[in-house]
Amino acid sequence: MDLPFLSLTVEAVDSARLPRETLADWREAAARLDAYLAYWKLADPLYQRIVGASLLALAIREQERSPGHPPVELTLKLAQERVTDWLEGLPSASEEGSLERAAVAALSLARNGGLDRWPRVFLSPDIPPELAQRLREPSFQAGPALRISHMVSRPIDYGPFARLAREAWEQVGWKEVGAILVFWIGLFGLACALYFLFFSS
Amino acid sequence: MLVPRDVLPVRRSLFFGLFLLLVGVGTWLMLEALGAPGFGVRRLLLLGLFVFLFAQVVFGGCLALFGFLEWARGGDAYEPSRLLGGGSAGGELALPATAIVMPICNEPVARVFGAIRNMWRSLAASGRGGGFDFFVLSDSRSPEIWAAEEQAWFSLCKEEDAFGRIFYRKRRLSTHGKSGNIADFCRRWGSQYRYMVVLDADSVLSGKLLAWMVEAMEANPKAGIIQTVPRLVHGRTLFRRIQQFSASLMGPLFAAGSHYWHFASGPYWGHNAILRLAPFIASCALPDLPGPGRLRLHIMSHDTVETALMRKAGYQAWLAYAQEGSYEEGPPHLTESLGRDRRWCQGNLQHFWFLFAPGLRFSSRIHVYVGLLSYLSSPLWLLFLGLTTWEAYDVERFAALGALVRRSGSLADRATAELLGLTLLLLFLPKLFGLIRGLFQRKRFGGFLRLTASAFLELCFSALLAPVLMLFYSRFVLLASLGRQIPWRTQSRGEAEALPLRAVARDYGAISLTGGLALGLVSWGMPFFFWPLFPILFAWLCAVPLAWLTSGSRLGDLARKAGLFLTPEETTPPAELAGLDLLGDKEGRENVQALLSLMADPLANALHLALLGKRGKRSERTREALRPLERRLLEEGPGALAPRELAALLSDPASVRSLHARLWTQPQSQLHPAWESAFVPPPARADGSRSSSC
Repeated sequence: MDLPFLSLTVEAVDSARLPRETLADWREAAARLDAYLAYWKLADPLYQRIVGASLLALAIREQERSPGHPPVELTLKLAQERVTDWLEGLPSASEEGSLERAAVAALSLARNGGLDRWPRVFLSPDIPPELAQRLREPSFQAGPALRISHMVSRPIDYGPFARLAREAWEQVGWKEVGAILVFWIGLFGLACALYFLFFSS
Repeated sequence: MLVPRDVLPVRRSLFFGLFLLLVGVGTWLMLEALGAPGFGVRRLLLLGLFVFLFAQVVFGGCLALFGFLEWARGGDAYEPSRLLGGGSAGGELALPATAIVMPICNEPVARVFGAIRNMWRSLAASGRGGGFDFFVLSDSRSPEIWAAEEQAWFSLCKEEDAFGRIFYRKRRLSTHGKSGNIADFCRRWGSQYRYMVVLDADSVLSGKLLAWMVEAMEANPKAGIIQTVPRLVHGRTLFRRIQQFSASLMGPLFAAGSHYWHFASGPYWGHNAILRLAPFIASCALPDLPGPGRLRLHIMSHDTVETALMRKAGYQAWLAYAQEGSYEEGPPHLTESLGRDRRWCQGNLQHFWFLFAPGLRFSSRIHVYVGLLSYLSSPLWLLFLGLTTWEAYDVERFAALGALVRRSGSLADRATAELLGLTLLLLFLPKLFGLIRGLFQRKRFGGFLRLTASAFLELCFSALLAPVLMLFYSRFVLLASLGRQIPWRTQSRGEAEALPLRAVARDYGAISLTGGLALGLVSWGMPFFFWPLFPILFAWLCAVPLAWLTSGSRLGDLARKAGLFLTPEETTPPAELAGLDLLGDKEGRENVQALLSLMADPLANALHLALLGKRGKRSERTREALRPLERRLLEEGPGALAPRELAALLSDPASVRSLHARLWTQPQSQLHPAWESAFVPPPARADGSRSSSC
């Protein structure tokens, strides 16, 4: 294990003179950091605690340098930056500098059980060759390579009924339909009137 | 093909000959029953309706009869598993590339991926899994389900070491529903595969059957579609148990009878089937339906049309009804079943246009016609019922006035009795044949007594259900004819709790009330016609208790304990279904947890980002619009955003990154309490195991 910021731990915690009123915030920051690191499920809990303590120490030092940032924000931002930098530096099959590189590296690690077999590789620049080789293999595919086919619907002849309907839709407007309806209703009404007047008896 | 040329004409002549003969006999009896003198418009209408409706009853009876005869002969020599099987000698040759696609939309995630896991393992156990790739094609609109699907997919791939073999794709624009989703798959990856097995979200196929389907297609280059007959399984509610018992008992007979006449022109039901991809891509892109402007609709029920187009292109469609290993689940209760029927009704009515489309095969037109009539017959039956009652009232009134002397034993009465007998015979024949067939494998149905009792109860249930369905179908046809659109929503598959009585009373109360009132009215005003109308009016009266009692799992469980409505899949459960019935109980809670994981868990977040890839990049203007949503999500909790807003955030990689970072860096006081659980560390790992949301 070779953590570049590990040496800070003792120095930072010793020298930190945390104001009493910020203690609650630092406790929240420590708890939040523990929860964040727990998501990485390192196989070595001791190493996870060491990493946590180191990151916390680093945050405390940063706070001394530039006060004003809430401890939770400072600590977790630092932790996330370190993790992202480390992931982007891992050997990977994805393009250098691409935005998805860190995400793909995290998934490659998860797929290969990297942190199960080599828990102390987390945030370390030293990557075992076997893991490096596995991480270089393209491992994350949401689908096979695209090969586009031409599948477009063609109009189909639906026969005489559809033709009649289409002609009606295209050639007959609401005015014509209304006129026809009025005509037939009038005619029917007239026939009824004639029947009741002259034939119903 | 291996079939003698004269087999199909002989079979069709026999089938449709008997069909026409029975329809002719029925029509003649109806003519006699109506009585020749005074044949007015009403009687003409009655006769016309009768021919339509009776033809449908006869068609069902003929299917069951020919299916039963085939079964009694020891099975159809030309059944696809006998005709098409044995493609590769020895059965050990590598199978060609085949995609198994499962289009899903807001389905129970654990159930979907559990089924894929079981199929994957079944294929591995068969030793023929090499050529198969799985595709889960998601159109899910719920952000929680989207997150859960991604995580379940990654877990499954990791568990089975199936990266690069099981794929997951979420469409950004869900156009044209399931058929659009499949067409999208075909355009992207269709050319890489020779065959495509289409599944529903609740489908399961055994590895053995999958391998057989591919072999059968390989052996017969003209086969375009092979449809299997899925068995209904996993029923807990009484409704589902009765349905699956009924399907298990009579389904094979109807399928065999259906295969008897259509042969290589079988149906395709849109799932549990294999398709030859090249002709499917070339010929089966769905056309729009005719109509002006806005009314130019997309086809809702795509399967029948796709079969017709495949047949038009010169390929065959087979119904492999004797093959074991194909399963699906039915709707849990009557309300859900009716929801599905309403969609199918509109879809089937749309097929009207294909009845007259030039170039389609005879069998395709018959499939379209039968599909149309399965819903259209309900309003016709209702009309027939009304006209019959009117006719009976008039006849009785004239008899009372002395205008018509009614003599019992007259020609009309005898014809009526004979017609009633013939109709009942045709209606109950399938049930009787199913029971006889079931008795030959009675142990698989729970034994002689239980099988007979179950068959009798199923008969009562279907007699009560049919008049209720008639009213609903009539309403569906009317609404569809008026152009009321029906969204293709996801079928509910949960069956833990019965429907609330209030909801049942709201949906079915009017029918029960109508039934009760009509019974009273008929017994008072038309006592002479009380008994003919009683079965229908009594069924209407029972609509509320029928829907409510059958909707819960309590009675279903009791029935199972008593050994009623048992099916072979329950007495000897297939390995492919193992554990699937237990999934889905905690579905909602797990989906919410998945959304929380997407935001908090670095791996789940990375998974989502990697799946979004480059496609989700937005303009700065869109980003500006999304920022207030991000703030609201963190400060007011997931409940503060509409699903569309949440989905918009999750579709934007920058927002997903930003939300993950801000969730961790914002102090608790600035976050909604809903996020508290994100900071509870996940369960500690046990040695040698890794429990992860991803």
